[in-house]
Amino acid sequence: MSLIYQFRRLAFAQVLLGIVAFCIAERNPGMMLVAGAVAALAWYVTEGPSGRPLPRWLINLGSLACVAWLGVDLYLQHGQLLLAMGHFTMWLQILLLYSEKSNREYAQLLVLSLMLMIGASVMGISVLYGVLLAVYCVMALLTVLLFQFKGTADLVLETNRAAAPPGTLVQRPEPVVGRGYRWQLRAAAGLIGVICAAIAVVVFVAVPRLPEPMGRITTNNAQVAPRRTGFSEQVQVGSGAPTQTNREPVLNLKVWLQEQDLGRDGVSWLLRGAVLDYYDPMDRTWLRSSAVAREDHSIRLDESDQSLTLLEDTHPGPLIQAQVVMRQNTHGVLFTHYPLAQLSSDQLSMVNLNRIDHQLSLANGVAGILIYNLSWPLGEPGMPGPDLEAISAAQMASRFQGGFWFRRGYRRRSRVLDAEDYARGWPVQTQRVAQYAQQILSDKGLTRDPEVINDPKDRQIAQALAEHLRQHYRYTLQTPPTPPSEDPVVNFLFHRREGHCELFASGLAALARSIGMRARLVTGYRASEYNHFGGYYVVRESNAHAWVEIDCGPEEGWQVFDPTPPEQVAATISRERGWLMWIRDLYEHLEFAWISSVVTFDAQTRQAVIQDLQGSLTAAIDRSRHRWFDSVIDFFRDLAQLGQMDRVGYTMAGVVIVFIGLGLGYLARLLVVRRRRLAALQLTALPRATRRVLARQLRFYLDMLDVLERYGYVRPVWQSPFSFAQELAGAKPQTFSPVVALTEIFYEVRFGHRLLDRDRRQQVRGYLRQLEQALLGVRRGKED
Amino acid sequence: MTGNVKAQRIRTQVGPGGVVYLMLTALILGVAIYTQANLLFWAFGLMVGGLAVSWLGAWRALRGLEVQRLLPAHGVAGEPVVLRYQLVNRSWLPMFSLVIVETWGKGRRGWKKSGPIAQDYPQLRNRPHGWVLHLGPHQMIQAEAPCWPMRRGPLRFERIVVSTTFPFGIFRKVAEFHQPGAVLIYPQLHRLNRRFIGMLWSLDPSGQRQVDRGGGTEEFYGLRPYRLGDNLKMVAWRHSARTGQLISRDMTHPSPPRLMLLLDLEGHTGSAAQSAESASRGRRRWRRKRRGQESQPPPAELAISLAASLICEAYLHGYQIGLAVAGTPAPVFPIHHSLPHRTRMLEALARLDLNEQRTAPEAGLVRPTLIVRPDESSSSLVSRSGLAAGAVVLGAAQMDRYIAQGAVVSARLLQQRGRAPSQWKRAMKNENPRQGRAQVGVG
Repeated sequence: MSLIYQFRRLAFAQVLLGIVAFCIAERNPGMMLVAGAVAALAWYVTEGPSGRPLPRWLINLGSLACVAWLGVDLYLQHGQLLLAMGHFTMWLQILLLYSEKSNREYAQLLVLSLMLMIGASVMGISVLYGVLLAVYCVMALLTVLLFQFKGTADLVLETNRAAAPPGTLVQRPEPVVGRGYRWQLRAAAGLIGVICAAIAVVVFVAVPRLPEPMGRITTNNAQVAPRRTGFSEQVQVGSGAPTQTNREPVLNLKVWLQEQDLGRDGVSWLLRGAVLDYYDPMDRTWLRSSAVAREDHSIRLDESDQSLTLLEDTHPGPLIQAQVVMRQNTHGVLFTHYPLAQLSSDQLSMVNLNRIDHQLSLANGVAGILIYNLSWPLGEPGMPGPDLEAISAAQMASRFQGGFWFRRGYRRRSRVLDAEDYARGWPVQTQRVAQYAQQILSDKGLTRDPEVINDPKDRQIAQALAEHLRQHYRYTLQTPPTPPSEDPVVNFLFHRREGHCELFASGLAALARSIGMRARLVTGYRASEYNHFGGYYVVRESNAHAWVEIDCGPEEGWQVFDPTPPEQVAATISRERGWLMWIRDLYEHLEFAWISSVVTFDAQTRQAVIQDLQGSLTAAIDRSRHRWFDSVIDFFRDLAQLGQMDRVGYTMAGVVIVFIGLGLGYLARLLVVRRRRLAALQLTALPRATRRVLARQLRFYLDMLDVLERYGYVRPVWQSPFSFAQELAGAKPQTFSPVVALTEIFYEVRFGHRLLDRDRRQQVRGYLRQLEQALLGVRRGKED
Repeated sequence: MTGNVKAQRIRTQVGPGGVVYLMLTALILGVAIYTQANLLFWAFGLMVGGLAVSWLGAWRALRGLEVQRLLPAHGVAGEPVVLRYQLVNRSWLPMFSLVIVETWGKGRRGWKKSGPIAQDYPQLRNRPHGWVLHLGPHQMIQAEAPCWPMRRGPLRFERIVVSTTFPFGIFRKVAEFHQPGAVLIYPQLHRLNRRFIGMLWSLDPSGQRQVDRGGGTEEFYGLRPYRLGDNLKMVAWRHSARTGQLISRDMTHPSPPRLMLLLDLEGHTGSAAQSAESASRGRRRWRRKRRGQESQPPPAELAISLAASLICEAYLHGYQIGLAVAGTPAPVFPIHHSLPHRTRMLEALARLDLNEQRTAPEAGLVRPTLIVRPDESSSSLVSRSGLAAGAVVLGAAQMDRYIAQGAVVSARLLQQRGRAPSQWKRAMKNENPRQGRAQVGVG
């Protein structure tokens, strides 16, 4: 019975799909390969040519092993219940696939598969998982429908077997179906799917969301898929190169100027994150001193436009606009551009701003995706720092009590902030480094007094130092850890002379500080990968970058200097544009759309959607309240506006209307002709697919009847094709021999299931021509 | 047609998978609220959609459905009887997965308390079930539901219940059609063994001698002068030409054995009968059946079954047979051989009511050649003097001795036409009890 076989295939495919989807959600390709292969093998073992399910005792033994493995897995996964339970249900399903399955086992299998998908839905956020989930839902719909049929058929069969005398063999009866059951069943399934999807959309939007999850049974990302993030609020320069393998997207950046997109390949933007002003020579780590951290202020955004203005009327030129879509919450840091003119977001009501290093961070947690807009002045990079005085006193909410994103170890080095000492001085081999810096400057014809805080040539000095590093040092990610006896920055400057961006930035900061300049390390991201589908930069963990800000005096303020050779960085992370990149861009754009619209659908998005719907509904109601003659008047008013068109417009509109009319008429004629053809060939009772094929194949017979009708030979409705051909051939054998041949072909196609190939089509055309010529000859003979 | 083809009562119940479905939906909702995972809100929405679709389906299902039961003329105990149903869908929506069930009594479990299943000696083991996968809009189809009646008598039907759980089994829509009807079930028929049939042949001396006489249509018997009304095909033209007068060929008309069967049920009717129905007994029987203990048929039923088998075998072999029943009122059937005659005798046996203890006055006047009794030791109203002429007494308790081993007679016996006298000899020669069904063939 094909129905039951179809159900078995569908159920198997559904379970297999659930297993694959779970492994994808878990980001565990090894598990996917192993479990998928073992599960797929079950079909061959149980349903293959010599297929036989495993004995029940073996299945029970396997179930016990699964229970034991659950405990082990819980231990290995450090109490990650979701993962362990997912693995447990997955292996139980695989065991059930190998067992002999009655309807009860099938029901267990489907319920287990559904539970596995519930777990996977908690973890999975990728669009690939979303696609698999959609396919799974469609398959589940069909499987449940077929399971319902199978269950009912089995129930009836079992009842009839129970009613029969002992020993009586009761066969499974063929299902009783009416005409056209296939397409009606498909249509019903499709309709059910559409209704379910529509209701799912309504429920999805209507169900209120909590501001925070009640509990976190979700797995920790670090344990689901161990990863190393590129961005960090402290930099350990001696621990080797930062990871470049994690291509997890962190944020999207869209940049435009006066509605013109500025994003393209080859143009990169630095997004400022953490600002580190203190170098710990013991730990070889750049830190943010707690004295600076104390200067963080919680600032409420302007309620009128949800914005925070930092540069007001100081730069009359145009502002570059940018939109940042944070896909991950990275340590609560708000990535901005430096200098920043304005920050605005509908999702933020308060931010933390530091008056010393101008670092911005979140004052409150934000669930899901965070979107905020930035603007900064167009022009030379050197701009004065943010003017804290521009912030009104009313916006100053409260003094920030302890930074929530700072490590405890940081506070140990807390000290009172000294304005003169801020970001100055280099603690390791100070003289050597200073001599080296002075040597670099002297080569450029520059010199600087280390005791002076600001020098008018500080900008040129900083540029000279950065240029020296860019030209004489090599960028590489293959940096082994520095020996404990040696400082990594000094080692980089004097011995190795190659390294990654953190070493370059540390080297520049060390050189600048050693000659008395203020320099601080900045970590953030370098946005350079442009997605052409979305029109935005995709910033990944691997795009984490470090650079330096140097104080260039009261006039110019803090300036950004990136000593890392940009060509070498670009060569390291460059990618060739090809169809693979094209597909990846498309996939990432789809994934971003999926995550932003579905996965991170939160209470605010829900509120916005509901407000849009309410607005549309209100507008529709208002429109419907208009009286009908108002609509008529509007229509004629529109017609009058139409009258203002010129001749070309009239012509174009007329052509379009004529073409639309012709197209609709052609479609209507096609439908009528097809219906008449089906009726003439008596194919209406056949299934749709069959009658479509036969109507196409048997068209020659209708052509033949048309030819005959033109010459006065009409087949009565009651007469069969065979007797009609016999009657004609009996009257004039020579003339109507093609009719006999065509009728034979008609019967072969209609009842013999022998469709026309190319040769027979030519043969048919030949018969038709022959018939027409013969009839023409007869008519001419009569006329003569 | 009796009863209504339109549903008298339509109701909606929670289906077999409804509870599981609701539990899964609640589980998904709980996890979704707990984790705030949006994909689970999607999944919950889909489950709610499935629930709504099921409710909509249950709301519209079975509307405009007309059902008519088409019963066969008769059935045979122990043999499948196919009940046919004509279903018409008057609505514009197709119907899927319709289950057709016969039911009795009141309520959902009424069939366990009354009806043919609830009797002490039940007529049916279970309710007949039929299944229709699809019934399109404005279409009419026929469905079948087999049943295996266990004993003779009228099998009465009360109600037809049509239900569907489409699409997901969450809700069950049930429509009831009150259509009383009955089909007469003949007693169980057995194929008798060859030796026993040979013994029957020897009961009637005339049959044993095979005295043929003219006037038949079988084999050449002789010549005689033409009589008005003779078929012209039977005129012997050569002899007529030689003698100068029309001579006809006379064909043989064999005289088959003539058997008078007396079914002696004296002492096995009235209060001794065990076919009374009561709710308490029905429940006991149901519990017994649940334990796998089937009740054995009473001896009187075995005797009736043996008598019916004899009648069918006699008809099959061309014997002339009559029937009289002692112990319960029944008409006496004189010795004759025809299909209607056999049918009437089987119907009479099927309708015998063992609860009535009364002897038909005609039964005492017959001279039986064959007496069938539930057990050989029971007394009989027929005088012993009547048996002196060579009547044989058969005890139904020893029925196994008469039944052909390995060959269960099916209702095919009823499909046999009466054979011509020349054929029954050949049939008897060729008959192999072990291959009885194949040898008999369908006439």
